[in-house]
Amino acid sequence: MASAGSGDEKAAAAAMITLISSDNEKFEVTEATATLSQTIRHMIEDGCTDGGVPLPNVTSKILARVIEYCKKHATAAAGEEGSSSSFSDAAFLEVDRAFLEELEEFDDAFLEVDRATLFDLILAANYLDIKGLLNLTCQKVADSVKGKTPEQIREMYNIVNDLTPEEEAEIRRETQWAFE
Amino acid sequence: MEPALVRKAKRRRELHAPLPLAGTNDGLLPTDILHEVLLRLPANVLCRLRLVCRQWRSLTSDPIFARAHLLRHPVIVGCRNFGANVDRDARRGVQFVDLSGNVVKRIRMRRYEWDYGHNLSVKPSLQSALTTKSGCLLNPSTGAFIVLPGYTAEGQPIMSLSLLGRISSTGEYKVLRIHRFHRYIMGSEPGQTCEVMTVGDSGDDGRWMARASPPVNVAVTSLHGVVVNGVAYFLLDVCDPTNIKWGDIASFDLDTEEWRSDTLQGPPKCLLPIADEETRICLHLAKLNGCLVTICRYNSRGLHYKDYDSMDLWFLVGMDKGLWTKMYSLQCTPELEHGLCSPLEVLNDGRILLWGSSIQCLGVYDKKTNILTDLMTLRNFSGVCLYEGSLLCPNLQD
Repeated sequence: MASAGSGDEKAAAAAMITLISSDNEKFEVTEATATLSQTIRHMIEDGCTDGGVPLPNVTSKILARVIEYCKKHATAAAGEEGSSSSFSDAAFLEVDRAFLEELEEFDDAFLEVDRATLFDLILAANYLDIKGLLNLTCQKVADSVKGKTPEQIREMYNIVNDLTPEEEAEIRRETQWAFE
Repeated sequence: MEPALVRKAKRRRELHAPLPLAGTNDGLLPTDILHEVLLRLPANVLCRLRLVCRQWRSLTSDPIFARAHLLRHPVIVGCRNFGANVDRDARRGVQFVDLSGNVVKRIRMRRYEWDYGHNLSVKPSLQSALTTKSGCLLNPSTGAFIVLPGYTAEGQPIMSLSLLGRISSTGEYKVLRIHRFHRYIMGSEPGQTCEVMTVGDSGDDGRWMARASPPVNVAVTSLHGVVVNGVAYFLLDVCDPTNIKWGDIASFDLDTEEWRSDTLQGPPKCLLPIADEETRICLHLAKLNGCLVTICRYNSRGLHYKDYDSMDLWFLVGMDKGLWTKMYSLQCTPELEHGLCSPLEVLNDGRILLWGSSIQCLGVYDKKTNILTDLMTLRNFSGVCLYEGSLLCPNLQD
């Protein structure tokens, strides 16, 4: 393991971090990939990553997917100023259009997962504080809900309608404008 | 600052905290996820989805949720005129539009309401009501429309300006109206009168109460007056030859209903209408990010050019000390040269939302890249401003 104390630039660039999933699987990733997660970034800054970073909320299956996402997006961020590797729209302004399109295709393909995996990815993105991944996955769910009727949504997510007819009438009355 | 070791220990603890949802995913939407997902939907969709179940209803009605939603989905409100070929009654009224261009709410106006309201001059300082030059109020939650009584005393004002403000201590809304009567003549009677009306929740028509005239003559146009935190601010009227402190600001406290005795000194370098022979300056007031802002436009290409080519935004950061800070300087983008481009708000990513009334275009200006990007065209809109209320939670207050 590269020690945190090394001031050598080359060593810092190649510094590897070990992430440990809830089922004790170890993943070696570069610091650039790992720091897309603000949670891990803070830990690196505080020097508490020796011996690996245990992530008891993330299974190996989900962590592998999260790392796949971070690797791809870390390459995109690497084209920008070295210090900032957080995903932001502005950072990509100057990046080659073709690469952006490739990234978009990657994101689309990345989201082709079943619903349970998608929810697990959201939970992991939330916990690891990976803004771009959280946005991507939540937007996917939001888009799937947007055009649906309340009945369709209840069916999709196994939700029981516990509203009384009076309450339903009240909702329609309160925000009549939204139903026009 | 906490010692590093304490912070370290804290983070360790956070990471080892018990699992909130340890992979027990049965296709249900966990509450954490639901919150994040619903935050990404527009207000009108959320209101419809309150019919899903009680949890969805209570989550989308929660003031904390509504506030987070407001930060994420700024809403523009304006009065939409009709084009020549469209059904007049169906299209005119007030529209609320999000930054993706979706009309999230419409309030249709009846013919007589339209006659009063079509020149709606909506000020950014309004919390949950809109005001017009001709003196009408619209409650955006209920759609209730009140025509305020006109000027009843003798004489006919040549110009009037109404500003609406909320008193935070009582939650009341008050309308302040200034009338200007005649051309200013040295040594004559004050040319302006001032009156205040309290607007009740019930929509009762209040009465205008006469108040003291402004201590100095103030500019009576909507670009020169603004309400911030229950205080109405006015630039001094440059047409009054006795006003020599150009750029200074008079203020009226809507709570005590009194003019403050001293005028507030404007930002530095904004003191003269003509800074030098080549540069022309024009000043306006606005409320951005909850601050009083002096907008200082320059035309450095000489007096024969009509348009301004740059704009400085001075924020009053230290209210008691009168401390102005130039936070933004927008340079010479071709779009800005198209007449008046008014800043509506600073978005939470630091970009500025601008409305170009002459080109009917909404844009955002990014300070980092110095680029102005068109967001959308809002054809036939007037009185465009940021809606400060919440469509999800009508009673949300600051």
